[in-house]
Amino acid sequence: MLGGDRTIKMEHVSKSFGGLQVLNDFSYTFGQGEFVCICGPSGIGKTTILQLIAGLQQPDAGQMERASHNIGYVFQEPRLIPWCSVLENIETGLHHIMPEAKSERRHIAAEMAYRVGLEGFQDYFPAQLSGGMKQRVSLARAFAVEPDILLLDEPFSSLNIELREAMCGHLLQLLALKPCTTMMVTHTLEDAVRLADRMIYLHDRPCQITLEYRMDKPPPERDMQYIFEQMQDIGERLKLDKI
Amino acid sequence: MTTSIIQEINLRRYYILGILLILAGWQVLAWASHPLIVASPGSTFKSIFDMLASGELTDNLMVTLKRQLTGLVLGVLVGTFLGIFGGLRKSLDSIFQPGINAILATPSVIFVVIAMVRFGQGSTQVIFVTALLIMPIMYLNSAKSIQSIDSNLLQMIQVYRLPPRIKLLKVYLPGLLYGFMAGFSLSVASSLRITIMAELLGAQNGIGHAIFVARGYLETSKLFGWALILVLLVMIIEALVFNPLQRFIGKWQE
Repeated sequence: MLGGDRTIKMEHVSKSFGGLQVLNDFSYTFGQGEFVCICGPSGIGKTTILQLIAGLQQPDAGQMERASHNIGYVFQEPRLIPWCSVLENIETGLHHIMPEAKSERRHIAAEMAYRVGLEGFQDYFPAQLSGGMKQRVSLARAFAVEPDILLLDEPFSSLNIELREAMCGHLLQLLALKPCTTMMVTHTLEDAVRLADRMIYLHDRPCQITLEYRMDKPPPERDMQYIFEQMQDIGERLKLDKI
Repeated sequence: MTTSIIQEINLRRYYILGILLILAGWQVLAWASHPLIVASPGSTFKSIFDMLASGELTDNLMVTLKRQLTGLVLGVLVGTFLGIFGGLRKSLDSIFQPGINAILATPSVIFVVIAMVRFGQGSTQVIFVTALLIMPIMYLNSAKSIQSIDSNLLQMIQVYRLPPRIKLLKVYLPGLLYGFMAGFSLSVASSLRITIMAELLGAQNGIGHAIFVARGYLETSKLFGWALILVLLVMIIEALVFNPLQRFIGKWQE
């Protein structure tokens, strides 16, 4: 399934906003098909990295190396078009990929709605949905384009614990179905340990990678105990590193 | 579903009760005071039928509606046109703002007086004032609706590379429509009030002028008749235009 090079290289990238230097000579490689979680304090530059990858921001210096890809982006807020139905919203990214194939777009959108459990809500407007449902529409929209790169910016932060669990489940199912290089920004170490292959922890300004951590078990085999142990391990390392 | 329908019927019942209370209060007030000050509901309805029979009602109504509609269309066109540019460019919005604020802050009678000096009495004056006062309402609503198209939404659209045609069709036009309809609903009712005020001061026919004449001859029941007709007219307009639009927009609103 994995065709083409989906590696993303950030080489000596610098980026500042006004007088605020967020990235300075930052280099990192996101491997093909990998799930990397980006953790760290607020305002450190996590979202900036995602936006650079998505092409929403351009680096001041350095290079972003990535082939032209289909990108799926789940933002912190759902960012749905208020006057478009669930189905039309899921279709958003397909207009570019298949401009002429209206019925196929509809078909894909309906399938994605089904996959995230919104089959009865296809004709609803965003305002008629709950927060969790809106975020599922956003997830379905991202996967509808069969992304090579999936960017998730704290997608679960506004959801309660139950909805979080459900969203994590949907995400893992979809990833199993349509594997892609995934980068997720999160505040929650638990999400990182549960979902990711690799976790990088950012600190300082301009931001630096304080810790890079690999999970050695595939996600389905990670039980509560494993997650707890890894989180403790990461916690200790972070403390040691800061001292 | 059923409960909401029952609720609706109950609410409607109270609405009718409200109307009956007004009629009762009106009748009591009429008994208590001189017929030259408060016309009774009975004499008011009679004068309406008389005006209907003599053709006075239809003639004046047609004249007024024609002026109102022309003024409304002009005001809506100019206001929306300027509003689109003001919405797209902050600098243009800043240029337009003082003018818009000045029009909104000036008592509308002043515009009628000025327009009468320029255009004399008659339709031109009435249409000009109506258009002038509707324009800022449409300007503000359309500019605001374009400005409020979320920058987050535009970023999302950039990520998913929405083609320009789809972007216009699915994002900008509906975004504009949203504010346009809100402003339009407001403008329809406002334009009727403005037209009648302008007619009252500076026209030889139309409802406003008829009210002026009725006042002059102390025909209180006619005056009340016109007031009632105008209330009904606004209610009809609201039922035909405002409510369906509200329902349409309501589906999108949070």
